[in-house]
Amino acid sequence: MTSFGRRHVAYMDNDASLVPEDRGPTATVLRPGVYTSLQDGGRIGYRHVGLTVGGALDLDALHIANAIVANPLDSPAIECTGVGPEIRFASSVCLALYGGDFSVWVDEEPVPMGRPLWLSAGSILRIGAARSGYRTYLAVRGGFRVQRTLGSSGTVARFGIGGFTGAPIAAGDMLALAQVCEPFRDAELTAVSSHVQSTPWAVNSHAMQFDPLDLRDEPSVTSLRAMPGEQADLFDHRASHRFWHTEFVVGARSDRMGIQLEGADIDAPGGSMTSEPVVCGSVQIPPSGHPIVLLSECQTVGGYAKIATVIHADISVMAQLRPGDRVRFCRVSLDEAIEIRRRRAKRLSGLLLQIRDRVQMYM
Amino acid sequence: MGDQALLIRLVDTVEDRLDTLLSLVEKLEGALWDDKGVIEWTMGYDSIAFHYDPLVAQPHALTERVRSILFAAGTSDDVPASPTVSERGFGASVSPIVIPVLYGGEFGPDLDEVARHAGLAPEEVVQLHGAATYRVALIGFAPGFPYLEGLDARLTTPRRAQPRQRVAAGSVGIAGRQTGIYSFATPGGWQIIGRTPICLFDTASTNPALLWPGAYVQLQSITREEYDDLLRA
Repeated sequence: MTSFGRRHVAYMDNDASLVPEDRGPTATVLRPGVYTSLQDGGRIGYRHVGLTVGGALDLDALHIANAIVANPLDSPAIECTGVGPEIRFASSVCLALYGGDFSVWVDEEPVPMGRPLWLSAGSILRIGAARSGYRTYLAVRGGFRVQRTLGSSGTVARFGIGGFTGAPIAAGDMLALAQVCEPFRDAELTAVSSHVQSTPWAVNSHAMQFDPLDLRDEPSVTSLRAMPGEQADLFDHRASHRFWHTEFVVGARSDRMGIQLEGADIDAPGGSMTSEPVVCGSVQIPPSGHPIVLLSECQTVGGYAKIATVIHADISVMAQLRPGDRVRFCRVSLDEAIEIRRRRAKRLSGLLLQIRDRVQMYM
Repeated sequence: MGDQALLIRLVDTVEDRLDTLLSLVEKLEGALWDDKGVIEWTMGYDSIAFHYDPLVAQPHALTERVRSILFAAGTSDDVPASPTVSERGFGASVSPIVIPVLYGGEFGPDLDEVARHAGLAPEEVVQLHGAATYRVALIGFAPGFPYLEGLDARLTTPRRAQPRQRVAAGSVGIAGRQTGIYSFATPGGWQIIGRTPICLFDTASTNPALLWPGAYVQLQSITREEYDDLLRA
């Protein structure tokens, strides 16, 4: 292994999370939702042998959901897409939902997102449709009992890697939880429905969406800030101008690998290109002319010309785009990108600290 | 690559593309090791990306350092191989990895097509394909999937007009001038001429990939009995 590869060995413990399957609390999936999978911080250190990073597409949301139930931030959580699953918990559990704003019910009564929810044994959690955004994360206090593959439990369905079964969550799946969780007797909780207790506070669903550097002059169109890509110079002036000044629509053929954009064709440069590394945020222009914006489960190399790269700070924004959403690209410099990223990281760490202070007395 | 990675691409005049890239990996890995913000690397056909965290690695300083290393590398003929890299087998002196392949039959449904295209008998295709020493030009498409260069020019065959919905893991294929091995069952359009019972990407291992960029590979024709024995082993 190269020295880069060796670095992750320190935190790899494929066996540490092995627990006998028939012990401990479980939850049963009654309905799986549109596309639901177990995801965590992803796999780092295997790109040189062709393995995608994967993990939660909206890492900020994963971290916040885990923080609300006092878990390590990269713990596996259930990523819901569009419409979430329906899950029955056999034992009492403490859970949190964060990310896109979804309708959520426990035993047919609506419950809020963004706070710890204590459910009693036998409760049925139903995550409905997204009201805004596209992906939300269900974290449970103590996490899930699941084996790690190459340092992560993140599901890469196309290669059968990770998750509970190597596949997206399906009806009838039994999800193993690490612990039963009941509220402390003296904790000040409020009832948010007949059977669900919660804290008197919540994390605002827009907590990470406000940034003075955000350029949202028109709220119905999402601006993705981007830098010119590795083949930007190969596009002719017309194609380039069109790319930076057109509004695109998120296509239905979007998945965890990438978002396909429609609404305008960008002429791909002629000639063939050799396979070259890609990153999450790379905007490829295939011969069809419909841009593909790569997400974190993208392949490691690609042969399409890359006209732009969405900046790291806007990856969470991309993860929340749903088919039909309108987007445009806004050009920034490397220094601006780093400054935006720094601000976002600062804002997130501040928020996570606040959450940690708040939840301490409950967990 | 945005604020996430530094891409280094070789100009097309560079000979020994693979060795040049590998020596870059070697030198840059050693030199960038102290920069805690550099996370990992991805190798393309004639390019390499170093993925970094710009809040730690200072991209401008990183670019400058890479430039100075590249400049130094370009003016120096003799740079000793770093132990981490040669340990892994990057470099020319390493003996090839032998991969057993059962050619033709149900596991090589396109062998006849490749033979027809080449104007050869299927046995000759097997003989030629097995006689070469290949080199991993690139790992990509799927985890551990090697694009092998060194295919006998007579075996050059275009991809299938109709890609298959599912190509079994271990399938050995030809696409144009390249040959490769499917490390996972995926859709695919390569001409499939055989299959190996060997696992190319073992997710249970901390060192999961059998092959890496620059590795030498020989393919060895085996019988059905040997295939079944290896599969059981």
